[in-house]
Amino acid sequence: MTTTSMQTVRYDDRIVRWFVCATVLWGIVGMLVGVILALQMAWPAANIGEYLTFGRLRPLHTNAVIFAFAGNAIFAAVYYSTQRLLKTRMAHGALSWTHFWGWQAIIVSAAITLPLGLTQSKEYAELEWPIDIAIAVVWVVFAVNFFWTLKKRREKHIYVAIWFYIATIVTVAILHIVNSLAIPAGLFKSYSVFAGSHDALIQWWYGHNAVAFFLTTPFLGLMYYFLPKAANRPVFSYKLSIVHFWSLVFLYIWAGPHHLHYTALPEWATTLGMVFSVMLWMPSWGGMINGLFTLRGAWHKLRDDAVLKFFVVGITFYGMSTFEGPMMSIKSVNALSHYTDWTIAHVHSGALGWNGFIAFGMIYWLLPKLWKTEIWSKGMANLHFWIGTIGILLYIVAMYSAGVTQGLMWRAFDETGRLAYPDFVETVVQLVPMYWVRVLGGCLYFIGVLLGGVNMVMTVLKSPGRLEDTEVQVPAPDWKPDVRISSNIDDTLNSLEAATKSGRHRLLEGWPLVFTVLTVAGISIGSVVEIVPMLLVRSNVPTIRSVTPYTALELEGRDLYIREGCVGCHSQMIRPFRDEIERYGEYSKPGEGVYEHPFLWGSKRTGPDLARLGTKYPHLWHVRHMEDPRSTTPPSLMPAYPHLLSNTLDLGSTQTKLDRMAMLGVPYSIEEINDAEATARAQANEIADEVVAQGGPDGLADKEIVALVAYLQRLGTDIKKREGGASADLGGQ
Amino acid sequence: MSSEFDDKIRDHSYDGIQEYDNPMPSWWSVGFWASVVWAVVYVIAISVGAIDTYEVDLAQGQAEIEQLRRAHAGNAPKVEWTEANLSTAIAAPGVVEAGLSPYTTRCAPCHGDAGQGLVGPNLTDDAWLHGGTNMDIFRSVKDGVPAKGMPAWGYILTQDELIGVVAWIRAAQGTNPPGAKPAQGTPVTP
Repeated sequence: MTTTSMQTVRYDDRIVRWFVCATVLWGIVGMLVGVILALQMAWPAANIGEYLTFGRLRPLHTNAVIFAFAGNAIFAAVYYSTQRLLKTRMAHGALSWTHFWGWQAIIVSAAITLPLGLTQSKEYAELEWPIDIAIAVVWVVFAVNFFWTLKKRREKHIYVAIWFYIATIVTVAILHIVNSLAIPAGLFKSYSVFAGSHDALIQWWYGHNAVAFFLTTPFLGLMYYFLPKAANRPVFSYKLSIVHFWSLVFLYIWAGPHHLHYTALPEWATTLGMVFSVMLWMPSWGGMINGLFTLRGAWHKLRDDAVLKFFVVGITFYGMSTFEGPMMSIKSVNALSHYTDWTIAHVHSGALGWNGFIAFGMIYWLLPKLWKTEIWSKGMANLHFWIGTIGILLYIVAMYSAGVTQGLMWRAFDETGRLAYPDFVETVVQLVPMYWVRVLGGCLYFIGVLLGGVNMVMTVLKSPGRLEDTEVQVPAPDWKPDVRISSNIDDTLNSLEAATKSGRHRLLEGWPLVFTVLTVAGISIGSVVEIVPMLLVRSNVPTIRSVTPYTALELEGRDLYIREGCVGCHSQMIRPFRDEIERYGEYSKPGEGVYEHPFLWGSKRTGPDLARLGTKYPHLWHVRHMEDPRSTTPPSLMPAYPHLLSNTLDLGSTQTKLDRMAMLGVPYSIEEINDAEATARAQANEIADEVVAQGGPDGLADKEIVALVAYLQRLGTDIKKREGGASADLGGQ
Repeated sequence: MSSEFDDKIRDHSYDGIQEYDNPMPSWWSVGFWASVVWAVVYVIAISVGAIDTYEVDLAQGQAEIEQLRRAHAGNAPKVEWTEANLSTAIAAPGVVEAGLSPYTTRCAPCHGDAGQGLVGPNLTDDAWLHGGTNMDIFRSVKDGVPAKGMPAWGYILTQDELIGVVAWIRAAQGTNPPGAKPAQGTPVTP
């Protein structure tokens, strides 16, 4: 290298500023919804009206904090650091802004459609199909912009932060597309193409890896850029970066089935989920070590630097939750923790501690650089840190205590061999004080976020008028191919050997395309090994002959169950435990789910499991219970659904729905499809008459409640037909 | 500890960020490989039956409970309930009061807190759908009327609680609480 010509690069800082503002705005919105939900759990009167019940708001909270708050934080980090690490401006401004506004539009549409009850019900993938398509398009715009920028780079080798960004972008695209495969049955209605156990496996392959590739890998990338910058220290270990990156990317994708321990997923799959989760412990801690050890020699800076405080505590929470995750994925631990608030504690130590604090650490570091002024109040930033930390601790301690308490109460037998707490609601009442502590912890964290918002606005207001993009002089790219392909094989091999002198991985870092392909290969292995046999091997889902499709009215009722978000609090999956069989009935079998598009197993039991609810109570009980749960179960925390008794049942698309189900392989005959509306009407009249006969109100035949009752009375009864012989049992209705 | 890491800096720099060439901490590598070995051992062990599957675990758990129940049944005095000894039992002092709590949690949601009837029939009048003798009421509570949605409480309530509930219902006869549901079934004079 003789003379290096220098080039001028102007980094696009404006897009980063907008993503930072969006992060804070959506952080406030998402966490406000979280506080409202916490209040609703402690005090059911806080469920107001038809659109703001817990079931409908819960997906709004999760989507807002994951995809709006954490998502915008990721984009801010990627746009800021990628340009600087590759010494080039983002490839195309139009792509950047399409990405920004497209993403915000998706968030706004989520905030509108979810309270309206338009949902596919799969966790963190609730948004209906038109929005799903928009997400895919915007994500591809982001990917094109990012990889095009890589192509234009002036730095031959890509830094570890970029590796994590690559893994994020390609994997999220694959996960989102596969898990969102659905067949539309209207503009805002669709059914997952997968059913029952298949759908569950795909969903948690997606769901767990949304945690992995949306909340972990991009944040690790972020950490690898902003932490050494803020601490002004070299990264602890390059080798560790390599090993923990590849092991993390390869192992994470297998871990999904640990969300389905003891369910109707074959045990081989959950065993894989468990062992891969345990193997993930050290790769995850590799990130923590590289974060914390990078601070060696910089610990004194923590005293007055809020940025480093946020980073250190954030990374510590990452370490805690990535130890806890593998632990909870061990079957016997999961048997206690699953369906309880322990899971809620776990995700919030990750989300509030790791994602929230890392994002705010980054934002406090970026504010002065992006707006070219001192931060408005360092004291307020420190206050945000402390109030947030106390908030998290209160939150998680309350939820650990609630989770363990309830888990132990569920499984307790007394000395006579009877359930010690046969009444589910007894185990709920016990948790209410802890729910209030959570409200307090959540409020503290939320106040911290508000302080962050105020600090940001005040900093922006005192910034000097016109903000120019950062301009730097960088050497022009001047690199040759690492390997010279020549007709002489020896020459080629020699040049290859020379190229690997500074490490084989170093060579790979100069080949982003190969790097990307290897990453895709890494995440594909686990995906294929778990998903393909599950879908193709019949014996994974043994047929149960007595399981038949829902009637037209039951299907409509099921869609109401989906609309109201019942799945957020009620599981439909009885595990093969003696206490669950005692409490709920025979444990759930894979063959029961073959027509369940989508599956509704749920992942939390705030209320009891409903898998075998059918025929347990008279129709009138359900009518009264839905109208006001406290009229039948005084201590219940469930929201009231009086609108189901007044809303007119819409059977306008029933025929389409049956038709789409038939396309997915549900054996409805042509006649059943054509007569769907009339059949549904007839069953509705029958149920309404029975409600009257039981002493209930008249005039419910054309109301939504009858469809829901029809569905609830069907739940889990098919398997009893087999036990009771030919036509038994449905008469119980 | 410190000798493990000599902090040799690598020559490249990304936007000013440098990296040390330190090895992985040895405890990290040991932990990682130990988890890999454990994973392999676990998968082999469960495949050859050395670790219990869900079904095996469940069968063992249920056998334990069964044993507990048998032992309890063996210890408890066996009572053959008849109209006569049941009538004596519900008349004993404190029995009605003992029935209030199970009645309130189990029965009130459908029959009303005063027995006035809601989803289920009125329990305070003299009309009965499934018989109005003490033994009839006892059987209805214990075995339920599944076809009409009345659960079999014999699986959930203890014997004392069952007797208490029968006593409570008996004591509620003729109280004529506000909002009482119209009579259903056949009048029975006790």
